[in-house]
Amino acid sequence: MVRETFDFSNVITILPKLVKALPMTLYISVATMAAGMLVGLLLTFGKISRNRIVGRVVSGLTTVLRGIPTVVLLYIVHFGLPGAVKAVSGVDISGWQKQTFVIIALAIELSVTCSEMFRSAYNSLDKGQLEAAHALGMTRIQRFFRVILPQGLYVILPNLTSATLAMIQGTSLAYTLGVMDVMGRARVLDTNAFNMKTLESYFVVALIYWAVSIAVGGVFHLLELRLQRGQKTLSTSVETKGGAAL
Amino acid sequence: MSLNMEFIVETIPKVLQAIPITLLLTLFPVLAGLVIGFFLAMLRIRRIPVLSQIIALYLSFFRSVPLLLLLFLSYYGLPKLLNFVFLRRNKGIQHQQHFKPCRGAAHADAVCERLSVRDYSQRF
Repeated sequence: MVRETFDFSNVITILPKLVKALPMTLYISVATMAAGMLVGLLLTFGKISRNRIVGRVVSGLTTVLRGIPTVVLLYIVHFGLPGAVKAVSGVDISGWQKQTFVIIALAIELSVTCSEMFRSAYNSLDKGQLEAAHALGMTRIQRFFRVILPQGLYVILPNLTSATLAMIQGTSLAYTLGVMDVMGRARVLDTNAFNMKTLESYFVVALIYWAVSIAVGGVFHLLELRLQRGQKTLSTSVETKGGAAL
Repeated sequence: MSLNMEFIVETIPKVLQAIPITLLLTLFPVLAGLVIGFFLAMLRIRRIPVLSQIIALYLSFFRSVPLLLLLFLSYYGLPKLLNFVFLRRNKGIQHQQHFKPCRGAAHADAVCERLSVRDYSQRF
């Protein structure tokens, strides 16, 4: 017997219990974000490198990984990686926490998305600037941090926002491995209540994800405004000059 | 744990049999999503006062909620919602479930439809 009504008092009792599980979701998200962007950057270096073979291999890898659904990737990583690592290096990683495997899987997916994003941002840069940086005697690292990053970050920000939000939504798949994130906790709560609070539990999960998305979107928006400031001063200074000339 | 090649070869044809369902689940949301998304985009472009705020809220919600969750909400929630809306008003309080969760596929369709709606309405 499934209960018919939607009881709002249940929502209020469930909400604090599920908010307690939010740190797990956020932990997975932040770790995935960091790992994914770092690996994505490395993949991008592979894609834009002059070495044709490296470029081909990385592009091929990207194509394959983009076609795999997240759940499938999650299962492959969780059930396949320990065996593969043991066969290659003899290290036993099967005792790692489940959330670690979730992070690895999501990071693989995010890194592929990021690498495509970074590559297009790099291609959008004015190549003359890179030559200028070289002419000024900058090292490759200086060139990256002073010329490529400040401009590239502004270009990728909208895409990065949607990729991040998609990744955060992807963390809900962690429950399939039994990780107690918001989704997993909601399922446990519902089961413990003999499936009497199904609708309320999932409704609360939806509210939490909604709130997180709005918050993350807000942070990215602030970042965009902050980066825009640098761009604006450039353009306004040109405008004022033009105005003065008129 | 190691890869069992024989098993893989055995499994491939069985898994391939399920491809039509996957394609079907792809086709319907794309079609329905395109149509509904198109109308939503039109309504947003026109900037009709109340409606466009409602659409903005709708988009914000469905864009920020995981697909999996929509699947659950629709599978468990939609029958209840339909009962609540259509049956209770007409026949007083009737606690039998009239709209039972039907085939999961139909629900998945409904969900994906909403998902693709939110995507397409942004693209237009």
